[in-house]
Amino acid sequence: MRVPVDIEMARCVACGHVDAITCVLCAKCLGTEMAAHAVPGRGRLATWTTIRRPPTRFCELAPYYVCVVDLDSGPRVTGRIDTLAGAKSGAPVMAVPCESGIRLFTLA
Amino acid sequence: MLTAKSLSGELVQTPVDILASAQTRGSPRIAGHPDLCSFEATVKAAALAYAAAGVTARDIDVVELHDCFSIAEIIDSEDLGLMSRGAGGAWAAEGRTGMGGDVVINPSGGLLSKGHPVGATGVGQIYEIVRQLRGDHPSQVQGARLGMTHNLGGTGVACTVTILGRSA
Ligand SMILES: [Zn+2]
Repeated sequence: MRVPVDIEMARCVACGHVDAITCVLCAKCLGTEMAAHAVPGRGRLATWTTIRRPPTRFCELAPYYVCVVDLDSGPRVTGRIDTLAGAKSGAPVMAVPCESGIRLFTLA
Repeated sequence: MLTAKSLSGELVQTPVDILASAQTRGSPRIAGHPDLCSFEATVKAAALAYAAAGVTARDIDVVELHDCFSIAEIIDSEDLGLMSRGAGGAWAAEGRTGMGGDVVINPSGGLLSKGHPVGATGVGQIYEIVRQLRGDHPSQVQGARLGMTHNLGGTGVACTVTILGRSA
């Protein structure tokens, strides 16, 4: 069985609020101490879109697929999905390693 | 020219009243929107603007809204309450948002047809509606008395809805 890579988030030291991106300020209590917080990269595909006209620096990659994933741990995140073959809303997905630092998902 | 209503009679020949202008915020991220078919900033701004102006969506004759992508007109028009939720696509397809329709949306052609020059887009929308309400627009909506502009920033992070009316 494949093991998903973790997804890096931020967690407020003061109130425990977990933010889906790494940030410096808590959206809930305005606390300024945010600690690194990793969650398992496992969730369900909410939706996706195909990028056919990318910005210049991603031209080589087109067409590529941007997705929205509802993680099993709660937060909703955006990322990319490697292929749309078999993709449907609600399908289980997992995060896989990606050298460019982008959250990359694949159908689990 | 922007002026107090008490001065507009002597300074402007065909004044247009600013009945309401409301600005709200929403999530700066796609993933921060629980409903991917709605921008809460638009829903809130529209409610505030209708209340301040004392009108409802049904009273609006012409709208310049933020159709930054083709899907955006459908989402925006439903969020503004111009038709019921889920009916935006059908209304556009059936011509109910075109000239002579139930509510005329983007007679200017909208953002996609003008290249969406970000900061200028909002001012352009006001210009369009003012000319419609003065009755001198080259693409005139007949009898337009009440107009609205809707401007959305980022991924729905900020929204401004303005309601303008032809001076009685
Ligand atoms: Zn906090």
